[in-house]
Amino acid sequence: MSAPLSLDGVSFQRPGPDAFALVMPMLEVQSGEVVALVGPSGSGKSTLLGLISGELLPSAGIVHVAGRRMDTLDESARRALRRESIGVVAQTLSLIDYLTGLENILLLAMLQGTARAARDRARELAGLLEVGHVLHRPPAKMSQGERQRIAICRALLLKPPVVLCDEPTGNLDAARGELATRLMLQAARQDGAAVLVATHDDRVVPLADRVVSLTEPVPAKEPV
Amino acid sequence: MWQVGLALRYARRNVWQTSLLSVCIAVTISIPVTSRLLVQSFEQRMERQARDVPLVIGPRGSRFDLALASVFFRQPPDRTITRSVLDRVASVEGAEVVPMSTLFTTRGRRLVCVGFSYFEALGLNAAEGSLPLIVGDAVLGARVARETGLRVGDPVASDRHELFDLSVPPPITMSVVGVLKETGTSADDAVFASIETAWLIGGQSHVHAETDELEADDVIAQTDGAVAVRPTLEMSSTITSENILTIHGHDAPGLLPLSAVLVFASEAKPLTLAAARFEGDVNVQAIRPQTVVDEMMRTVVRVQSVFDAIIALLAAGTVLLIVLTTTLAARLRTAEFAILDSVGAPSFFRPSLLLLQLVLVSAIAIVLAFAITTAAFVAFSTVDLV
Repeated sequence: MSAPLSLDGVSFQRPGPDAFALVMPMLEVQSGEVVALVGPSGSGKSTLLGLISGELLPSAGIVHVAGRRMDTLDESARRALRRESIGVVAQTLSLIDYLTGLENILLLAMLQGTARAARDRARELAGLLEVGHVLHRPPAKMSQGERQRIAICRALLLKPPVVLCDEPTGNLDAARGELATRLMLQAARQDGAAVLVATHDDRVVPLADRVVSLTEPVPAKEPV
Repeated sequence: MWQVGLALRYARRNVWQTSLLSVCIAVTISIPVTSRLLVQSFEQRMERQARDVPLVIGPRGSRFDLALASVFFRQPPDRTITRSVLDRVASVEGAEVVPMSTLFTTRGRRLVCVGFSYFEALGLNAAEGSLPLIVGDAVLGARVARETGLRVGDPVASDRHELFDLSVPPPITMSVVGVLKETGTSADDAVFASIETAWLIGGQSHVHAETDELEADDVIAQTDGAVAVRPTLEMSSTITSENILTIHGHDAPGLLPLSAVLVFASEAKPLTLAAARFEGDVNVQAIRPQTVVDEMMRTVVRVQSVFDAIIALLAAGTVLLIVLTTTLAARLRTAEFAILDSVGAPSFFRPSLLLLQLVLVSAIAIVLAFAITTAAFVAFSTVDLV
């Protein structure tokens, strides 16, 4: 069985004044596996996650997500694949301020018209990540840790085959960050998701099954 | 259609902004709609009343003043005509002529003194009591009765029309004998009496009162055979069954004053003949109220078009305001849209969400505009604008 997430010979070049190049010869993440993506700031961790989620397109190489080739799809199909197969936990806190905690968790399910069916799963996840008590509060009345865990619930709600986390502990103190990550990885493993966590937090790295390191950014060659 | 749910939740969370925008749009919609409806209703009422009185003969002067006074019971022109004018058109075959005096008021309302055939010609019927049959009878318009609380059998006095002239007779106390059915016309705001009542109030006719004692101050002239006393003492202010038969005047009947003579006819020919009799007359003119009202309404429509242009500018300003508000709102919601993009919301989701919110605001605005327009129309549609 092929890995839910694989990259083969992927490179990405951003031209212009902040020219930047990223090369990822080979990466595969299996179901239930957690891979930590480490590297210094600016090494391209977030860019790589963008290439996998289809928000960016690689200059060369192949990106497979849930058995489908992401890099050859058009914009609309990439969005659909992202919706169906990828759970995203962003670096910044990403809740919609006029929705309650429960509605934020159900956001993706609502987009797919399956909110009613997903309600029990949302409550179950909220219980697992210890945010059951804030389900009916707006984000403004939650702590940062609670908001982050609600975002994690949203990413895991529909049991996506691939989960991408960009600095999940970035806005949390050490204890809360570790707890949130631990709970997230536990839930993702239970669901058999392939998890790729971009982080430079030393407390998160030991929680992963494998570590992939990105080197210093390679300056892009300016076109002659 | 999850966009609907999101749009509703956004509106609920930002209730003040949504309400303010809705009210702005509602006012922009309701002002021109209300003004147009009111002008239309006003025009219809004016034209209907003007059609009911095909020809008016009155003193030469402003045609508008004459039409407004004789059809809509506004302030009459300063000049009057004499009863002889009535005699000049009475012989026109097929024409029904009605004398009218609108010189006086009672309780601040116009006292319309007319010949009895006026009521039949305009289809005015009593809802309660009867029409004014004899001198001193008064019939109230429906709104007058409602607002004053007067009932059949109550006395109602004419307003004193010259406060500082002692030679002017005192107000006449009439008796309410009926209340007209509501018509939605100026008749609802007037009090009707017989034409003879106007001459009694004006002092052209009078009744004598019995008196046993005279103070020296009451006598203003004395000869061997007669005594002249102050007019206010000489004339009674109340018409009773005892004194009604003593009503008389000292002027020639042809000189009695009238505000106008109304001419009714089912065909055009008698009207043309009646009007022709005053062609070139320096003191009297014949007007067709419908023509005069049409002319007035053309002026109103011209004013309305200026008003419409102002409203169009206001509407353009509101549209720009909506565009600005939507643009600013979209900018403030960058983070929200980024979240939607990151979870894979379709690319049409963002514009459709904004569009739905505009539709939602517009729907609220339309409901509000309907309520404002209805309330304004109910409040102002019966107000006399002339």
